Amino acid sequence: MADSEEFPSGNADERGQRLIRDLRRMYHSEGEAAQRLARVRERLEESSTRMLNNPANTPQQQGMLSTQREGSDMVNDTRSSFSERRTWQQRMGIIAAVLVVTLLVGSLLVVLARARQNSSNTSGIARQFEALSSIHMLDAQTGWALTAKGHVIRTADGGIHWQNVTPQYPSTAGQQKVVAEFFTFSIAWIAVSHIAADGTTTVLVYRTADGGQTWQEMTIRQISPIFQVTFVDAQHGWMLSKQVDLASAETVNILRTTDGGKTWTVVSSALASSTDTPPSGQLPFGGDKAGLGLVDTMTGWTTGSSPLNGYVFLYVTHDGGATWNRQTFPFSPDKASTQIATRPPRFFTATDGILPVSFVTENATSLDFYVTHDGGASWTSTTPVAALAAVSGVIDMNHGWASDGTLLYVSSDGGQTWTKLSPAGGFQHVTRLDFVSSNVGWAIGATDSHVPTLLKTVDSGQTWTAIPYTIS
Amino acid sequence: MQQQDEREQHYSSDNALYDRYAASIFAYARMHRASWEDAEDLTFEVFLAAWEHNNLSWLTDKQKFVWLRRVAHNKLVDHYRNSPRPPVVPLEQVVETVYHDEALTPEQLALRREELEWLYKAVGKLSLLQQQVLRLRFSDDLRFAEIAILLNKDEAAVRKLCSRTLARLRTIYDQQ
Repeated sequence: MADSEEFPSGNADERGQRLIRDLRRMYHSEGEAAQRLARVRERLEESSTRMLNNPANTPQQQGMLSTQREGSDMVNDTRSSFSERRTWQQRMGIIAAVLVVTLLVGSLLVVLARARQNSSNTSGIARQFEALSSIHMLDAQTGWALTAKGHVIRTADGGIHWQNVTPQYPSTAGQQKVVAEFFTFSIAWIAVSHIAADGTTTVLVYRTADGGQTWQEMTIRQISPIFQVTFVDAQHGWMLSKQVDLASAETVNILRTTDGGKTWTVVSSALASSTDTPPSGQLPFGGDKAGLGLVDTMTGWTTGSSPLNGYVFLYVTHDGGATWNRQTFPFSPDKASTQIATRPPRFFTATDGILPVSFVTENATSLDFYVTHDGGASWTSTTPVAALAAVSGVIDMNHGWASDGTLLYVSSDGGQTWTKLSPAGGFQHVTRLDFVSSNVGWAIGATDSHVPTLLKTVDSGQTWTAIPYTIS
Repeated sequence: MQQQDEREQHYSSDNALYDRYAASIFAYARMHRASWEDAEDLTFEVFLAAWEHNNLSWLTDKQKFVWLRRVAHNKLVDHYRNSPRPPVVPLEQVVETVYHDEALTPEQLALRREELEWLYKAVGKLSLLQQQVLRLRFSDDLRFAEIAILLNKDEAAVRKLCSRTLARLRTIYDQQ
């Protein structure tokens, strides 16, 4: 219960106390919140029960059932009415078992038939329809993806068949976070952050130059979890490591490699402090850091925002990430009090780049592609569109796509004008978009019953086709 | 067996986490979701994430709360819907409560009704942030420290905002 300290007690402030009573009456929810919370608890307990009843516990549960059955047999000898009930229950049990077995066998046959239909060879399908969390296609046929379980997969036929090329992560307790940079069809880096129960993090960085057939591994200790890996060529790369300290404040380390990821050096940090204004040349502690966007080995940007305080920050480096200086970012006044989220800028030349910024106002959400044509010295707003930055993509300074998960917005003039589409073909609950040309792109979505989907378009998003992908 | 014990212990700590912070996270969800159902779903998703996260025990109480609020925020950003004004009980219903609670004469009730009408109008003109603070404080009964974390504001700033808002609203009662 909150402490009542708004007004002093006593007759002198009776009106203040009355105001508080009236406000409580105005916002009174008549126990609705308590009922809802009780229901949430029930749902959580159901989930917990399901987790507790996983296959690892089956032998024990079987043992318990066996004991109960023996006990029931003893009762059965003395009470015939229970005997009849037990017989009926046994019959029902047998019928249920037969139905379950029939369903299982039927499902297995359907899955096998579908696998045979979709697979060009007869190799086993290990994780059919495992959800994808991100996709990075390089052209119409080849590309990489990460699955929701952290598997690294690769396709050479436009996403129909995926090969699991995940490095052998060591099995450790605690949380695991996987991020990747897929540079070419052969070269990629994976950063796996293992967060142990005591909060310490160990980062394993894997590099492949043969499409995931072999991986070189290196370990970095005493660093926060890796949020992003990015490279500008096969040798020069950066990692953004960050740790949430308070709501919307993060400590940050920026690591750099100049030898393709064999060795990494911390080149800049944002340490916990009582102020969001950092020392000269450093990144701020306050705000969510959205990531890095490098244009070459020396120049890059990091962006971020304080979602509820409503500001975006933009810092630029000209020495490979060692020192950072804040750049002014223009906002129209009506956007100043909205929730803001940003993505790292993407540069297509040394001077031309795009910075997606989401504005979430009281009544709507909108995405604005800010553009620069002078290497980030100045940024200009384009036409906002009702979409999310996380579900957007650009392939050059002209062609961009954005979605709110259901509708798709397409621009071919750098975000100045947008065409709104309501695509057919299962385009719903979309969380990722990835285009490789003005016509060809993929979307990660889900059905209404939360079955993950991978969709492909060859007509710039007008129509989408679900890909019954397999992972082997 | 040991694995099950660990899970049950984990389940128990999840219950404690839920007991401590569910109401606050639900209040946060109510700030941003238009319906009770959506707020319930968001709260469920946040605590399910905490359950699946498997180990928050190394965090302090405040850090746990910040973690939960952050997960809630991220889920809101992922599936953002309109941020609603905090819902209020209809005026007639409140007048009826006042009539019963305060045992007023018809004349007194007429004055109180007028007072409440002014209050409704004044609250409706407050900024979204001011209304959110009032709701979190007087409907959800949260402490200023918790409200500050939910709104990502400094605690002193929340206290000041609440105090100024109440002072502004109290002038309505002073004028009667």
